Amino acid sequence: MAELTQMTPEAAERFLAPQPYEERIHVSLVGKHGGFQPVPVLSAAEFVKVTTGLNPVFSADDLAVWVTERLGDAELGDVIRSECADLALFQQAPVACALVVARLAQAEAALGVAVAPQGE
Amino acid sequence: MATGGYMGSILRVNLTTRKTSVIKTEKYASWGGGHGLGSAIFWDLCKDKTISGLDPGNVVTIMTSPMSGTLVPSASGRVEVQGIGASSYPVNWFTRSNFGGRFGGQLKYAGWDGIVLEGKADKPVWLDVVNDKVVFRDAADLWGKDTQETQKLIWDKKDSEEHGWTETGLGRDAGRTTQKPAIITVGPAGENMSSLGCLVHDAGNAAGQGGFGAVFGSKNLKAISVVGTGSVEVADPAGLFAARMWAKEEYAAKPGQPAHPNGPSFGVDPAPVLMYGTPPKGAKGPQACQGCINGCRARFADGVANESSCQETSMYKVFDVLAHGEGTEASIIATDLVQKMGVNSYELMQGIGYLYALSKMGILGAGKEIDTDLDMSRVGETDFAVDLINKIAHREGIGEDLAQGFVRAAKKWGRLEKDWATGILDFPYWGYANHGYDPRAELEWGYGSIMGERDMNLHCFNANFWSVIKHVMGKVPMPVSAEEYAKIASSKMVPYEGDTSMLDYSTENMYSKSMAKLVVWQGHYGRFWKQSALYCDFRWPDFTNYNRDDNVGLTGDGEPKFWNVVTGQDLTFADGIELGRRIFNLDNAIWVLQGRQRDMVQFAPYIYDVPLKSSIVGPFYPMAGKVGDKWEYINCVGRSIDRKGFEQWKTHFYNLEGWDEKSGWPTRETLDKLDMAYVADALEDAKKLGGV
Repeated sequence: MAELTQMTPEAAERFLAPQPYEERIHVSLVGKHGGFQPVPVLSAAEFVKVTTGLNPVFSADDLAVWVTERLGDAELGDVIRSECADLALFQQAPVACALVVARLAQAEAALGVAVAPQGE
Repeated sequence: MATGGYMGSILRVNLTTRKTSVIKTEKYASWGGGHGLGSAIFWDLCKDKTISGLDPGNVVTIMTSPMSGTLVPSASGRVEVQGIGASSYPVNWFTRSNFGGRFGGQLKYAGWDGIVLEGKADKPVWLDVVNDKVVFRDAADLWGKDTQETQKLIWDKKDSEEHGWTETGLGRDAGRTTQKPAIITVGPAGENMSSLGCLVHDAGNAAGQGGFGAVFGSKNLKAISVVGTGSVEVADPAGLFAARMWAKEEYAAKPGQPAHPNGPSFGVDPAPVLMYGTPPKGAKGPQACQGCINGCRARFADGVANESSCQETSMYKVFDVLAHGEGTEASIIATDLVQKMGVNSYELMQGIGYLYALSKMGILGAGKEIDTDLDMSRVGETDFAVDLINKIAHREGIGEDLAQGFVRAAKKWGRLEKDWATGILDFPYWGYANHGYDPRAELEWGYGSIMGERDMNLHCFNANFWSVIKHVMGKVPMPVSAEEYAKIASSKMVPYEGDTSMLDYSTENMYSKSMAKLVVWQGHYGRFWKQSALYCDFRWPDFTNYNRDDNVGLTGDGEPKFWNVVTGQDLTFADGIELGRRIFNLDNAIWVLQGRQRDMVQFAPYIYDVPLKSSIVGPFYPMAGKVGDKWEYINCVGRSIDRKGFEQWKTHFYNLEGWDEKSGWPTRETLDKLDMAYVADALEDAKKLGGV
C-alpha cells in the first residue's frame, strides 16, 4: 500500500468532518435479486464502515474526486484512483477501505485524539 | 369440470351478508387461471370501478392456476391476488400481488380454484374453509395480533376441534391430510388500513405490494384459513412426471456442478436468497413453496425471520451497517418484524432512506419542519426499526402520514415536488419504490412498470443483467455474448421473434419500436405465463441456460409442455402470449375506467431531469446493446429518459397494443379482435373508448 505523507491538524480536521447530505457520495450494494441499493456516505469513517461490513461497488474515480474535493485530500484521492484502476469492481472495496483506514489513523494521530466513527 | 387441473368451483364470499356461493370456473376458464380469472371476475362483479380500494364495493380475487398443487416445478405454489389497491399514486389502480407457499395447493385440495371477496363484515371475522364447508368466524380475539400469533391461534383452534383429517387408514380423497391449515392474514398494518399493509402466509410469504393488507382491513377480514383433503386431477399424470424429469435432465443444475451466476432462471442451483450484512448464526434449512425446485427461503434454529428471503433481508442492512460497521441482529429483527406486522418491506426500505435524507438535511426531527418524535439518531439500531414499523402499522405519530404511503406523506409535507426533482424520494412509478433496477438504465423495468400499474417485479430480462454483472464485475468471462443473448432471447419472443433490436438497450434505441415490442411482449408473457399460469418469477422465463451446450433455455417449450400435461389442452407458447395480451387489455380497460389517459403516464420528474450517476449505482450498469453494428454489454450509467423520446416510445407502445395513440384508450376494433366487445361497450358508455 502506498505511503501517504503525514497530515497537518488542519487537514486532519477537514478529512474527518462529516459532509452535508447534499455533498454525500454513494456506494452501492448489488444483491441478487434486489438490484442496486445505494448507500449514502457522509464521511471517511462511514466509508470505512460500509466497506468493512459489506462489499459495495462504487466508482473509484468518483470516490477519488469526493475525497479530494470534499475531504480535501488530493493525495489520497490519487492513490485510490491508481490502486483501484486495475481491479474488478467487486475487488475495489477492501483496497479503498484499507487506504481510508490508514488515512483515518493518520488523521487521528495528527489531532492526537481517537475519533469515534460516525453514528456512535 | 373437476379435471385438467381445475377444481371447477370458485368460492364467492359476501362479507356483508355473510353468505357464500359458487362461481363455476368453467364460465371463466377461457382466461386460463390466476390473473386472467381474477381480472375477468373483477370486471363482472365490481360494478363501480372508480371506487377507492378501501370501499366495501371493492372486489378482491385470490386465484390459483390449473398447475397449483401439482408437480410442475416452480409453478405450483403461487397465488394471485387482485382488486383495487390501496397504495399507488395518484390513483389507487386496479392491481395485483402474488405470494408463494402452500395456500394455493390447500385451496385446490379443498375444491376451490379461487376465492372472491365482496362487501365488508360488520365486525372482524376470519374465514374458516375446510373443503366445501365455509364458516365466518369471530376474529375479535385475533384482531391486534401479529401475523404469526394469528396463524398459531387459528392452528390451535383447528387442532382443538373435531375434524378427523389426521386419521390414518383412510384412502386418497377420503378426508385425510398431514397439513396444517394454510392461512393468509393481515397484521396490525392491514387492520389499521396502512397502505403498506401486506397479506402474509406462513412465516415469510407475502402479497406485499398493492396494499391488499389495507383492503382486507377495510373489509374487517383478518384471515382466511384453508385446509383440503382432496387432490388435483391432472390430465396426464405420467406426462407430468416425464415433463418434470425432462426439465431436470435437460436444463436443471446438476449436483456438484459449479454454480452459474445467471440470475432467476431455471438452471440455477437452489439456495436460500439471504442478503443480510451478516447471515443469521445457527443452523438453517432450506424452505420452498409447494412443488418448487428452488428453496429460496430458509428456516433458522431460533425461528427469527424464518422464511424471509431476498429484498426483505436487505431492507435494514444499509443503516444497520452504517451504525455498526457490520450487519447485526438489528437487520434480522427488523425483517422479522415486517413479517409479523405485515408491512411492505420494499416501500419501507426506500422510505427509511428518504427519512434519513430529510433528517440529515435538517428537515425532519423533533421541532423541525417535519416534527416527529421518531428518533433519527437511532437509525440502524433495533429500537429505531421497532419504533418506525410500529408507528406505521398502528398509524401513530409520523406513522399516520407514512401509512398513506411515502409519496402521499411527502405531498402532505409539501415536499413532493422538491424531493421528486432531486430524486431523494426514489419512487419513480405510480408512487411505488424503485425496485433497484433504475428506469434510466434498465428500460424494460421502468417502461413496464409505468405502462402497468405498479413496480412490475418481472425479472424476465433482468436475469441477464445479473448474469453479466456477476461475471463481468468479477472479471469472469461471460458464457454468452450480448449478440448471442439477443439472438436466443428474441428467438423465443413470439410474435416478435427474430427482432434482436428488442434487446438493444443502447441510448440510440431507447425510444424505438423494437424497445416497445420488448415491453409489450414482457407484459403479455407476464400476464399469462407468470401471473395466470403462475410460473414463479424466480425461475421463469429461462432464455439462456448455461447447463446446456447451446446455452438455450427451456422457455417457449417448457411453459406449454407443463400446462398441457396438466390441463389436457393443446395450448402453444404463442397462444399463451396472445391470452396475456387479452388479459392485459382487460386490465388496461379497468385502468381507463379509473381515469387513466396518456398524459398521466409519466415517471417521477428526476427520471427525466437527473442522469443516473455513477456515484449512485457504481460505474457499470450492464445491459446488452449495440455500439454501431457490434453487440456489447454496454454501460447504461449516465443517462436519463428524454421526455420527447418517451412520448415517441409511448406512441409505439400504444400502436402495438392497438390503442388510440392520443388518449391511450383501447379501440373497439382491438377489443373486438380480443372477443371483448362488452368491454368496448362499457368504455363507450363511459365516453372512454379510443379512436372515437
